Amino acid sequence: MHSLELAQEGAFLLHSAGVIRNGRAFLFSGLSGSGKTTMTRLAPANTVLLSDEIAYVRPAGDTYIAWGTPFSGELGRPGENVRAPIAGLYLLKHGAANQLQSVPSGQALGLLLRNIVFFAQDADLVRALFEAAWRFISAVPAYHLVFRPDPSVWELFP
Amino acid sequence: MSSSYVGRSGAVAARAIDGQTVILQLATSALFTLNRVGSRIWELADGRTTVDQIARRIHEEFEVEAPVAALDALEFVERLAAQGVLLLSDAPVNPDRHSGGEANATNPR
Repeated sequence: MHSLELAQEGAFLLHSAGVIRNGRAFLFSGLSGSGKTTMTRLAPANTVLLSDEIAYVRPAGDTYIAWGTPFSGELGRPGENVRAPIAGLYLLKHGAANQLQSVPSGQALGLLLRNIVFFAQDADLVRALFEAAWRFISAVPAYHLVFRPDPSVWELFP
Repeated sequence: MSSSYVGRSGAVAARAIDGQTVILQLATSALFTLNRVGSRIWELADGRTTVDQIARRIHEEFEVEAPVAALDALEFVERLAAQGVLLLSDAPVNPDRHSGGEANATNPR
């Protein structure tokens, strides 16, 4: 699934729901049950699905691009073959009200690493993925998204 | 008191970010996030510095009482050494050169 070469280029697969809205990709990451599929189900009509399970992420200059993948979770619908610059990484938490909270970079790096898809036994590959995650967190803002599971959450992502 | 030298294992990947240090153990994918004091100890663990010397620096730089710094530094390095992230040795060690840790680690007590 991963090659060392791709990881060294900074690319990885991320356990995340991804949606493109107005030309920007929003990635919602978390373990099973955190609300990835819910976020895609609640997405407005003017969005395009990258995946409700796994997004492909790679650097492009100073920014990062998310690509759709054919992987699907509970939504049962594969993502589309599209891509867009990543607006942010949103780490999901259920709550009573919709709120974005910035995440300190060190914590964000740890959380990102827990959500990167890899089965690597090879130390060089693991090291390359760690470096890729660090570069990503240095370039892309990360937030905790506390959300109430209704469409109003999408007002945070115009 | 500990005159053991402290070094970083080469079997981890580590990055400092916003005052914290995140360490990934390559073999197990275990993650360690160090706070400011832990990050400073990590920096000082160059294989040529002893636990006592590290404790003295923590005492000076963070205004921690000397006995507290000594105990905390020792506990910290022993805990990370038990995980194979830091190395403790009776002799100076080359930093970041060791792929494992257990074979080179000795108990400082």
